[in-house]
This record gives sequence, C-alpha cells and structure tokens, in this order.
Amino acid sequence: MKRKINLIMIVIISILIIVTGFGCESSDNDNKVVSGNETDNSPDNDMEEPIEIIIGEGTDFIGGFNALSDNDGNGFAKYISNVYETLVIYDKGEIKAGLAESWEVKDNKIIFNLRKGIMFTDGQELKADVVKTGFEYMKETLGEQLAWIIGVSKLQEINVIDDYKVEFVYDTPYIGALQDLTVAYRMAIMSPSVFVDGEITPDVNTMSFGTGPYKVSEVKQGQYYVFVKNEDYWGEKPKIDKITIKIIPGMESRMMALQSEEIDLVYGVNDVSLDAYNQFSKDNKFKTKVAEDVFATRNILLNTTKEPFNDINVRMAAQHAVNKDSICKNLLFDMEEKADYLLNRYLPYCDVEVKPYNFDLDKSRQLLEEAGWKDTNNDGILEKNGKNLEGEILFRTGWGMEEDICQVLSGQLREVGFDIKTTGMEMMSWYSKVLEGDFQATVNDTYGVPYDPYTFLSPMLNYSADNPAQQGLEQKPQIDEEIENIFNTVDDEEIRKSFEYVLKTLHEQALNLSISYTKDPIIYNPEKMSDYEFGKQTREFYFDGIIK
Amino acid sequence: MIFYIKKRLFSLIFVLIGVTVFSFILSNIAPIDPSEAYVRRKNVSASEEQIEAMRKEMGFDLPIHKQYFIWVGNAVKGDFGESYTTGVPVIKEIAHAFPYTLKLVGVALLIIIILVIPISMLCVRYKNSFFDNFIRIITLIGISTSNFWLGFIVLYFFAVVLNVVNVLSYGKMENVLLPAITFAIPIAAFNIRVLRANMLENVNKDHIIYAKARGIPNRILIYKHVFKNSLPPVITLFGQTVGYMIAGTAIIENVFSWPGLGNYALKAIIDRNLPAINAFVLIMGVVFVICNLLADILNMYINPLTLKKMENYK
Repeated sequence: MKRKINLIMIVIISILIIVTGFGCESSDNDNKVVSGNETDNSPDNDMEEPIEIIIGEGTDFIGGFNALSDNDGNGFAKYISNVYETLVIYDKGEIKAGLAESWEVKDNKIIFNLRKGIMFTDGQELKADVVKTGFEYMKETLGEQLAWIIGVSKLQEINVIDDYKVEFVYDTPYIGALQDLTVAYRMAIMSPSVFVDGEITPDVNTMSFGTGPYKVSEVKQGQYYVFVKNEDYWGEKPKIDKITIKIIPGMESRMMALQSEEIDLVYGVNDVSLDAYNQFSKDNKFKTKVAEDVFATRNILLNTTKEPFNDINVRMAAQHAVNKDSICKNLLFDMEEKADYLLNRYLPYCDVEVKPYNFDLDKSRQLLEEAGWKDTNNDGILEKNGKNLEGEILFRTGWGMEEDICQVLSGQLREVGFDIKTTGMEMMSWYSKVLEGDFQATVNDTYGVPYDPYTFLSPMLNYSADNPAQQGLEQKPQIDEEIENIFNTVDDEEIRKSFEYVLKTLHEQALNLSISYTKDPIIYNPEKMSDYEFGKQTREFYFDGIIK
Repeated sequence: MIFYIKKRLFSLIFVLIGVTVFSFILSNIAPIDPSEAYVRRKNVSASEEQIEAMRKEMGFDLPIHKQYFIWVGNAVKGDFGESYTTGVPVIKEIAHAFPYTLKLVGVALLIIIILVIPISMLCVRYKNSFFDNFIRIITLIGISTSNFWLGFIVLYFFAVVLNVVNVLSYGKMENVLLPAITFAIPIAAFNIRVLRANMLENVNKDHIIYAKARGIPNRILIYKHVFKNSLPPVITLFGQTVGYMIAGTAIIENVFSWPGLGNYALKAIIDRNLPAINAFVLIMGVVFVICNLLADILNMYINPLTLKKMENYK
C-alpha cells in the first residue's frame, strides 16, 4: 500500500505539471493574427517618439471589424468611426459632409455626390457602385433586424447615377433619413473586397477595409486589438501612431488596470462606473472629464392604463415629488445633468416650450389631495376607497445605476405618501413584460444620439413600452397620427408642428418622469495624454480626440 | 475491479442522460423564450412575426421531445450548435477556453496538495499546539472567505500597491500564480480541516496504539500509518473538488481576466447564449462524473478492501 500511495502521488503531480504545461503551450499558440494591413511602426527617422495609447474596453469585438455585423453587442461599434466612414456625419445636432461632399434632397429621394479619389485601405477606390453594394447587402441581410430604424425600413432602392453620384429612394419623404445614415455601425461604407460571392469575407475578423484615419494592424481575439495610422487618409492626418484596445470585461479589473498603469484611459458611460468616476476624480494621478453633449435621457415611464398612474393628478404629483437635483448630485456625482424634458431641447425639433415640473412637495401633496388620496390611518401612506397609494417600478437587474435610481425615487415618493416598491428583472423578462404593458411604472430611457429623436418616436406606434403606457390617454390616436406624419413628410413646418404636439402632449400628460441626461465620461492618465476632446457623437470614441 | 469500472462506466451513460434531460428541461422552463431573446438582442423592437420566424428557424416550434433528441443526437457527434453571439461552433470555442481553465485548476491543485498534506500532518503531530490552533483559525477564515473578495484584494495589493504583477493576465503562464492561489486558498483550507479531522480519528485506533507500543517514532507513525489510512475519504472528496474547481472558475476568471471556460460560461449566461450554456452544463456533468469515478478507482487501487466493501454492500 505504501508503494501504491507514493506512486499515486507521483502520478498526480506529474499529471498536474503536464496539464499546466500543456495550458502554457496552448496560450502561446493563440489565435494571434497580424493583419495584412500592418505597417512598420518603428520610430520615424526624425527620432520622434511614436505616440501610443492603450484603452481599456469592457466589450469584446465579437463580429470582427464588420460594419454590417448582425451583432449588436460588438465592442468595435464604439471605435468604428476611426476605421470606417459614413456618407454624412452627425456633428452636435447638425448633418455634415462625410464621404459624400454634398447632397440634394428631392421629396423621397436623396442624391449624394461622393468625394473623388477616396481610397480604402486595401487599395480599392470609393465609387457609387460600392455604396450601392453595401447598402443593398445591409438591406437584404439586416433589413428586418434594423426595421426599427425608419431610414432602413423606408429605404427602397439605391441607384447609381454615375461613378460618383448615388441616389437613395425612400418609400415616402422622411426627414430623419440623413440622420439615420450617420449611424456608422451598419451605415458605414466598406471596401468592395469585403463582399465575396454575396457574402462578407471572414477576413473582416482580422482586417479592416475602411477609408478612415486608422486601420487594424494586430488582432488577438478576446484580448487586444491594435490600430495604426492610415498614412493615405484623405482628410486631416491622424495624430496617434498606435492605439491598443485591451478587452477587460470586469469593471473593477478595468479600474485596477488603469491604476496600475497597464491602460491609459477608459471611456464611456458603460465602461466607467459612477463610483469609479467619483473615486478617480479625487485622485491627482488621474484626470476625469464628462462630455458636454447629452447622449440620452434617463426616464421613468408611468403607465396611464394602470392604477394609480391612470390619474393625471397622481402622475403630476409624482413629477413634483422627485428631487432630481439631489439624485444628480448625490447619486450620480454630478456626472449627469437634471432632465426636465423627455428629449433634450438641443435635438432637432425638440425645443418645444413646456413648463418643467419643479420639485415642490406641497404642490405634490395638494394634487394628491385633489385626487382624493388621504392618509386616514397615519401610516404615512395615502389611501383612497380603502386602497393604498401603491405601485411598482420595474428596472433591469445589473443595468448600471437603474436599481439605485429606482430605490431613491421610491424613497422620495414616500415623502408625499406613495408606497412604491422596486422590482428588478432579467432583461428579456423585463422586455416582454413592458411590451405587453404589464407594469405600473418602468425605466424607459431614450435610445440616445443619433437615434433620438426620430427612432425613439417611431416605436411609440407599435413595439415599445411607450405604446401600451400611452393607451390611457384620450390624445393617443392624435399622437400616433402626428408621429406617422413626421415620417411621411419633409415639410419643415409640418414636422415642427407634429413634434410640438407629441412632445407637448406627453409632457402635459406627465407620463414621462425624466430624471437626468446621460453624458459620456472619460478617465485618463495625464502622464500619457494631456486632454481628450469629445467627438461628434459622444457614444463613439475618436482616437484623434486624444491630445498628447 | 475491471468489472466495477465497467459497471461505473455503464451507469455513467444514465447519469449523462439525466444531465442532458435536466439541463434541457431547465433551459426550456426558464421564463425566457430563447428565440425572442435572440431576436431582441439584435432588435429591441422586434415584431411577433420576426420572433415566430426565428422560433421556426431555430426549431423551437417543434415538440420538446423532438427538440431534445435533435440536440442530443448532435451533441453525441460533438456538435453543440453555433454560438448565438459569434456564429462560431460552440465546441470550437470551448476547446479554445478549456486549456486555460485546466492550467488554472492544475496549478491550484498543485498548491492545494503542497499546502494540505504537510500542514495537516503537522497539525496532527502537534495537536492542540499553538501551530495547530493557528491553522484551525486560519482555515476557518479561509473557508469563510469569498473568492470574489479575496481575488480583488490580492489583485489590488500585488498589481496596484506593489505593482509586481499585471492586472491583465490573459492566460499567460507567468500570471497564473495569483488566480491559482486565490482559487486554492478556500479549498485548501477546507481540505486541511477534513484531512486533519480524519487523521485525528485514526490516531486513536487500535493499530496505531499498538504501533506506538512497538516504539515506532511519531513522524513515521503519522505518515505511514495515520496519513495513509486517512486518505480514502479525502480522495473521494478531492475527486468532487476537482470537478467543482473545473466547473467553478467563473468568478476567479472574471476577476483576473482569465480567458477560460468559467468566463466563457458567464458570458454565455449574460448573453443568453443557449447552445453554449447547454454544452457547458453537459461537459461539466461529464467532468464531474469522470472525476468521481477516478477518485473511486484511486481508492480501490490504494485499498482493495474498499472494492470488497462496495461489492458486499451491493
């Protein structure tokens, strides 16, 4: 028996050593790919030190460098504009020239004049047929998936007029068509080499095929992705020599990597927690900054078909009972700005004159009293006809600050006599529940720029939490009619009127309890870069925003 | 013994059928419709028609028993379907992640063995001494410590404060020690207590008292007579622990950015990537059963009496 045990111990330890050794070998043989795009990154002859920046990113680049990927969860979407470009770009509320130097809108048609001499990084030239191929592929493969973007569902055909002139035909005139074309992930133009026999070549997993200022040079799936300058870029020359994006899914690990200087910056509301932002802003070794432009609105939707929010006085009372300043200051560390409107007023057609609901507990109590709610048993909760003033707010579990915000809201509403419980749900269960209208109140943020305002309004007609929640409004048929109108005309005045009606009605009916405007933050190491200039769309990260 | 192994291997088939049925039923009674989840992940405002079309495409419109047999039929051939997120065959992704997990578990097991055996023997040899009491307290703390917390503390201390290791390990051999130690500590603590208790139980047995009377020195007594006789239950437990370790690396891998199977499973769950989840559950079922079987075979090999006992029992 002694011998056997000694033998077993030797065998076990040998196996473990072999196993660990095997693992070691496998890690060295990983699918590290150096793209055909790679350039020599050795320092220039003038001995200037190359500028290299390392970014920590939470979401892996699943779907590769494919602008037409069917994967919504691709971390690459945040960086896509560095590699691929769109016909037009969204720049702080304005549509500006991109790959198309000019365009002409004629009813339901838009004719784009492409820039001449634009080359893709694989040597192909940008021409009208390339645009046609890309959009037709997108429409065919992703058309149904992207039907919620009106600019996709309404797009009927793309005609090549000449080498540098391409015409987009929509089934009806649509004012948001240009804005929808600015969404780089899905609308960017890729080289014709990407399309092989009607399919997208798997080479997009390891190479980029764009016209943008940077190109992919090295890929290690799930670990890091390296981008280098596109020396032949047609626009302003790129400034950063090398950008490495390291994938670090855990928020805490990401922050520790920043502290230990393994990465130089983290960016975006999904990659920087509010706590981390607050903590780093007190640390002299790091700089923190928040974009000036609003991305989306944090919003709580009150269901007008369910008690107690079927009563407008109760909804208005809830609006007056919420102290948004306190939420922004104490919970969101001033990283977000108080929101008085569902869609922020800098968005096209959204500067509608309405009176914000200010924080006024007396007014709130008065409205509830007028609605017949009284605290008859002195328990702090109001009653009416033997029923408590109670409700439930649904939120998505693990979805950023939603839970914390709902809990604070519940506490603030209790001050005036509401008894609101908060219920966290798995995302898909939450979706099916809110789409069926089976809720009293729920989180319901806007989609963010550049989807706001058009693409946020269109699902109000059918598949959204808003549609069932608005059913209790007598103005609902008119709201739907006005939204339909927005998507079927290019008459500026008509659109303005429809927007005004929709936004004013929704505001006056008090069913959207807007909390704050989200903004994208950045934390960076000032030893590696001196500043960051936020880009045209704050949800995207622009390498050239980095100032050395 | 060969007959017993054959018998166990035969029963393995039923266990695996149980695992497949159980995992399949669990994923089907979940309140989430996988086709709806799949469509909505791509398009939040997907229509009922789109979801229905996807249900048909994925075969979720078929009766559940048909779905099960199709899935099992493919799984037997090693085809677990394609990942909903990447479109890559699940088996390929698992094959890529598995060696990393094996590496982590392998190093952690080495650490456990190196810690458990000498410490337990010293505790028995110096029972109720300061060392023994100290180890008892330390192991109690070790068992109660959560991997998640310990991982961050260890990482923060070594990577941020001392700056001697990288936060981002990416499965490199030079970075395995920290996650492996974190992983090993609670398990080693538990095993030290079990082995110590078993050995102390054996110390009072007649043959040990007789051996003592023969004048055999304490250290030989403990190693040759007490330790080796205390091994069988520990080996059984260890077999289960190995299975648990391979299947339970998710937290450690997440904290240390380790690209193994645990991280893969965690991501699959978050993404509601059903083919990956089902494949993970089935493969882990196989790993558990095999580890238990190996532990039993080891026990029989060390002590043939175990086999006799098993046969008599049956």
